[in-house]
Amino acid sequence: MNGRLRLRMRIMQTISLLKKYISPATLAALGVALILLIELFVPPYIGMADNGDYYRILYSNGLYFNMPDYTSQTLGYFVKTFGIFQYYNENSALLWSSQTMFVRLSLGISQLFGSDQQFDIRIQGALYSVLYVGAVYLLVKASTWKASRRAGYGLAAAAIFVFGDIGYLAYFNSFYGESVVLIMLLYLFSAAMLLYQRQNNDYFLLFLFGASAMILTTSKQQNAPIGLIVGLVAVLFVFMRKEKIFRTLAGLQAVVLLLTAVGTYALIPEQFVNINKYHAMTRGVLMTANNPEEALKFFGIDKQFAVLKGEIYYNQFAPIPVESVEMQEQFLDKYGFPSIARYYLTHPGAASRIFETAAHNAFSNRTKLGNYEESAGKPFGARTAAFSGYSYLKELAAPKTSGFVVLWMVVIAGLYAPSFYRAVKERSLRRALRLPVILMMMLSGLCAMAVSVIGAGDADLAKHEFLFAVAFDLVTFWTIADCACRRLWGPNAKKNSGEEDEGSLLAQQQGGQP
Amino acid sequence: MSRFAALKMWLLMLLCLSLPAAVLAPVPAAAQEGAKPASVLLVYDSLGVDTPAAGSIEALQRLLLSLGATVRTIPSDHYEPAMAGDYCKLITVCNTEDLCGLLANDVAGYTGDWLHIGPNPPDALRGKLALRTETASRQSIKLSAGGFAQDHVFVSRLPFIAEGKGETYGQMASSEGTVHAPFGISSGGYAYVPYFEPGNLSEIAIAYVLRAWLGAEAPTQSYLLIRGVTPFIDLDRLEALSEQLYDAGIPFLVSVSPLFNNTDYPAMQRYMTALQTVQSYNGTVLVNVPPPSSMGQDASILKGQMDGFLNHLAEAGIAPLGMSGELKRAQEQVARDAGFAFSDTALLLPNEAGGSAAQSEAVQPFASSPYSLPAEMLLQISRGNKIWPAFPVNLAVTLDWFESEAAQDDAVQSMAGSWLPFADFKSGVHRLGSNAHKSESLDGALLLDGKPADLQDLANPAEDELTVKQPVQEESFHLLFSVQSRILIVLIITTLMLFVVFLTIGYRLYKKKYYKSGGSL
Repeated sequence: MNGRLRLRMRIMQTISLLKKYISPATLAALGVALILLIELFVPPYIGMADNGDYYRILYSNGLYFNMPDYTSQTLGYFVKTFGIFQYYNENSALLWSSQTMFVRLSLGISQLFGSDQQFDIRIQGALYSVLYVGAVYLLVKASTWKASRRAGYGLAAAAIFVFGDIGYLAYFNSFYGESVVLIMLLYLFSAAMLLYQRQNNDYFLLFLFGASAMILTTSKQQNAPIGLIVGLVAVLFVFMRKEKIFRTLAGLQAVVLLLTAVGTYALIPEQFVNINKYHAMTRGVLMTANNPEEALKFFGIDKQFAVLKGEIYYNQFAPIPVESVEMQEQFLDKYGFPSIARYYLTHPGAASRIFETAAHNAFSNRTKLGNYEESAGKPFGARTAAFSGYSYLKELAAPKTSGFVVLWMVVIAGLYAPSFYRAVKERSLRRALRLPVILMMMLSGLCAMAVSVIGAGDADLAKHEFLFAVAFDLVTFWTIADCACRRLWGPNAKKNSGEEDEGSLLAQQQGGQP
Repeated sequence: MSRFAALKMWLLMLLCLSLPAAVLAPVPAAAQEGAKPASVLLVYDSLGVDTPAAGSIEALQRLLLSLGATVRTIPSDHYEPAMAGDYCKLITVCNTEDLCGLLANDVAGYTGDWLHIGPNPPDALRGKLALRTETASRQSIKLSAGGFAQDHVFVSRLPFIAEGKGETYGQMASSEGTVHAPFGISSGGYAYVPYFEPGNLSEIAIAYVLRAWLGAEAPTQSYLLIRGVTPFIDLDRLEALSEQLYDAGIPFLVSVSPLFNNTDYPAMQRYMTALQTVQSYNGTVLVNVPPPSSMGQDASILKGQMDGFLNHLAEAGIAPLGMSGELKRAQEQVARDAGFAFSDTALLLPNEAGGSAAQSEAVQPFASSPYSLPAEMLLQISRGNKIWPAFPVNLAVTLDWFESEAAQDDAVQSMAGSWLPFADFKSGVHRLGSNAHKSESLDGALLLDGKPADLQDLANPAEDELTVKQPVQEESFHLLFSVQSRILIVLIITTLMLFVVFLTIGYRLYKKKYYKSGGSL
């Protein structure tokens, strides 16, 4: 009994010490930073193996594969060094992406430190790590707003568990665009929530929201529709304050975001489209159709192509080569993203089947790609188990059904609907922001899921649906934070969610006080 | 009876039994020619990429394999004097005049049978053939060989034989009259061809030189080959084509793409039906070895897949008689074992995309391997009279699958009107065997698993019968799950109704609280 009391005292002392020097947000940031340091920068280094996509981003940015046996390591081993072109690089940008900005910056840092012949991907990992630690700090700062000490540190620990998972962090030592998606989604969500909470300068947060949205949208072509959703939420910011300058800036930002979304879609390179386009039909429409031949009739394609059901672009042998003129003219040119979307809209059975497939893969944070370097002596394709508790738990426990996704959305929206209703009724747009931001995240996730399956069938779903996985984690974490901090119900819900602050502020403004 | 007498009796019996077997058993074409395949070392200075000589090495490789020679090809800078000793014949090709000197130096000590193609023949050949060569610039020449002729062949730099001693082949005559020289010359084991560019009559002319130089004597045939038959072409048109060719009295070959997946689909059934029709109209099926994608080529995958497709053909009553595919695929041992090893008959087609011409090992010939030549090229060549002279090599006159019905009709008409003597592929000995079935041809008979193949045109199955079979769902717990989902639905609806009731009660209580305190809201 005495021992237990002493332990409790010690915990309380630790918490008060922590509170004195380290806030929950700082604790979470430090925790994630420590995991990053251990995993990414201490041998054996953790990263991600190339799945064959690296060349797109590598060659256009002045880098090349300089390992003689590079291809033998594809899919199985993480490679950390790449050559830097020493002569004019004639490779045009194969893929227009904001990721280029980060790769070039890392390359610049590498050259600044005298490494101008070989690029170590850990420099990029360090750059992403710094940005990510900042994003985690802001997220936890927003989520622990007005939280009790216990809840605050509990949430900080939960944030380390969820956002310090290796399923997320390993992307930083890779050339996949998912790392940019992860960081920017965290900044986007945190900036919007901090705006709602009025925790920092509105102009700064508006800029942070706009910048992260822009980088997120242009990081991957499949994010173009997400840019539209974010752009629509950005329109709401126009009405948040009455100052002309704020409204102009917010309005401009919304327009730029909407245009960026359209531009991102228009800049998709042809080859990239063809691979996904092929899978969209062979591993999407044909796989979900009751009668593949009937489905082909919808697109005006010869019914004989039904035999391509389930085929992949990278098959070693095919009846006719996928890059052939015949395939292009008779098959690939006959359909596109809009016609496939139209097909699913008019065929609910097929749509529900493909959604089910998407949902089945949506709760996996980790791909099957290897995490270790070959020199680490691990088997081909070995994945690290360290700091992967959350990914394993999620993959194991999440009900991987479309019904669960719908239920999750309905429950979350239902939880936030009353406060939204009150805010709208009281004409307080800032307080009403919480639900639209949550909906923005959920719809973005759903959109990413839909774009993945419409645009590429069930091919590479764990990677294509990465955005859904992050959005799910962010929204769920936020909801749990709101519950833990009693911001949704209970006697202090209004106070904890800032509704009373807003009310008193309004009263002050109405009373003419500054 | 003594032991020796008994032994003699046994030997006599064995001899009697083995004699008919030796007489009746079909022998490969190369063996029929009664000669051991000649081994040739082909040394080239350059591939002549982006010059008129581009493709010359590949054409020579295909010609040599068609003529039954074993070929190893190497660039001149890989040549070592010891190499030539392993081969009984040497061919040196000079495609770039500047590099000819280096090539001649590399092989200077060689003393065996030697054919040089291109300008600057080595001194050894000059001596043996008493050669004097000259070069003319910008010439429009008339090429003729073996009764064939082609006018207006423009050559920017033409080396020609001004003087020589030996048997000559063909003629080259410039329109200006400045050049009048033989196409090639040979004496003993030495031969020289000053000019060779694939795509014109020189492709056939050089075959005459090679045939004589290699000592091939077997009579030759020509066949008609339709390329590019895939499951995705208009199969009705393929059936119509078969009928048209049959009516025109033209036996033909089709090179068909294999289908590896979803073979139980109606599309596959339609494909098989169309190929049955081809067979019934005296068409012969060759299976094309598919080119690998950029993701590599796993021989074990291809072998299994090809086995599967060949079995499907056999089960549909179709007896393929050989393989077809790009030359480079037959030159790679792994791909050859996986794709071509099912048959000793292979029709080698030009490479679609450039491949490496050099090989580390000699490429063995197939027992039967007609040389493919595009029909449009052959039809440009004129001849002395209507009857076509004998070709120097077994020829597969190829037509690519037609883009339209009109193009198909035109092609059939031109083939029928060409007087080309197309032979029936089945009249030769060809064998193909998968892991479960065996097909062969012998003296015009087509056998499938030892029995005559069905050559009747089967009626097309009704479209209604061709439906995609849906995989049967596991329904062992269907009842349990349906009951469970119904219970859940009832539970959810009940909970929602309870929520509404509680909300209403709560709202009323909330209102009453303020009413009781006497204040208004």
